[in-house]
Amino acid sequence: MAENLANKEWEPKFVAIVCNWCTYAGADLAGISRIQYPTNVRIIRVPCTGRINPFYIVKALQSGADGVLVSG
Amino acid sequence: MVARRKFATLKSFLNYIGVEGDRTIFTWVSASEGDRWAQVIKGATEKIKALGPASKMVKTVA
Amino acid sequence: MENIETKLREEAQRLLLEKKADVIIGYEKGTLPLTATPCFITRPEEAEKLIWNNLCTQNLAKFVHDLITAHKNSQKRVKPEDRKKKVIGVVARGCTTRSIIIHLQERQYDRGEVYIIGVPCDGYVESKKLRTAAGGADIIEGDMEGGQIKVKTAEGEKTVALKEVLSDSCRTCRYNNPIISDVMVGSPAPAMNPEAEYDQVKEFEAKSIEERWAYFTKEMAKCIRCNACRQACPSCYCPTCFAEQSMPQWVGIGEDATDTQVFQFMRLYHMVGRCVDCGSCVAVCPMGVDLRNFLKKIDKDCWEMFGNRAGSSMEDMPPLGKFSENDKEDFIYNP
Repeated sequence: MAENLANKEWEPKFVAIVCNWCTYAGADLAGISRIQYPTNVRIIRVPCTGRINPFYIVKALQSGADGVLVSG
Repeated sequence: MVARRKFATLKSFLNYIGVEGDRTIFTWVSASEGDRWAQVIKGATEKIKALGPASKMVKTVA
Repeated sequence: MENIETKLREEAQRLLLEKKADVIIGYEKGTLPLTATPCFITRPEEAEKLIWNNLCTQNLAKFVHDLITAHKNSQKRVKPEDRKKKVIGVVARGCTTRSIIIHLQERQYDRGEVYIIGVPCDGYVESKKLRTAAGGADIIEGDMEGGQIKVKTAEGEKTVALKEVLSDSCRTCRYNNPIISDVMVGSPAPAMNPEAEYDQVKEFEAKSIEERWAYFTKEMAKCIRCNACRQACPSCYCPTCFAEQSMPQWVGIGEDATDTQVFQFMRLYHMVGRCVDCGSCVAVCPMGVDLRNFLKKIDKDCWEMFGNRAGSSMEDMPPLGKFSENDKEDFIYNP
């Protein structure tokens, strides 16, 4: 976060926990199609949204993520 | 589908204890929706930016 | 009450004599005045120890699960044909039967492995409340009669109304009579006040987010991570709790405030559709953390979103184990 604060404007960092078969492929498609989107996201791929333990979300928040996005 | 119930209660409970509900975002993006993914990330970034840096429940390493 | 007690003893004696149950879990008089403690009875002549009154606090379903699991583990090394079946008898009020229903729904044991002696319940005394009402000093002697409790402390004698020291959970209890039972002792108890069930939650929800967070952190700062709430909770039966797992380590074991918050948050969250509001966790908490406020919210969510009340019927599935097409989707983000 220190490097963020040093900048003029603060940029959030958030975790996206995404399903391998839907959103991960969707994000991949966004990359292939060269669609521009913000770089504030860090992606974690899981086999299925059902795989996500609510603890992942709480743990991400505890570890300092500014937000958590879950997408199936 | 079962996960949906899990996240609905999680979000509601996080909001109840005082962690802003907007910090946890749930959505659907299919494999053919690259554009929607970009939209979701844009929207999510704006939402979280509006909330400011997270301070609740964040562990600071000494 | 006396009447129920004698009937209960007769019933327990009969069960043990007829070998319908191998052990009976009930309450006996505690070593301190005005307390009752869980006891395990295996011989018919011990049945005289059993009591049933407003001092019986703990949810005994916890011990049912413990005993059955221990017995099953002990039978693992025995040849299948030599394995013995054990039946656990339990003195159960409304919340205890609800916990047993949850265990049955979660396939922890068979219905045949537990023999439920149902008893009507009109609430139990919260020991912390009683102590406060008596002036905060140690109770030396006590006597309970007709809705009044006579307490003697070092500072003098006092009479407290039973109604005033009942646990919060009992005041708004919806199921104070057993839901399932093999035999029922005594006649059903009068209803409590379930309409006021969510009053505290509604009040808390109306507060601002910063106030809610301040309250949560204040309450969690009291927690000393003794795990008494987990040990007392009938729904907390995992062989290895997430708090003790080291691969991966879910939650730190130090005294970091956020670790405590995360531990409590997750323990509370694990109660979605499983908390029966028996108040055991609150009763055993040595620091007086207000857990009920948060548990009730989970219960309320579960009722409002999925129309499920934990352990209220044998036919139900656990709410997080199924879904419905009509589930709300308003929390899902649409850009």
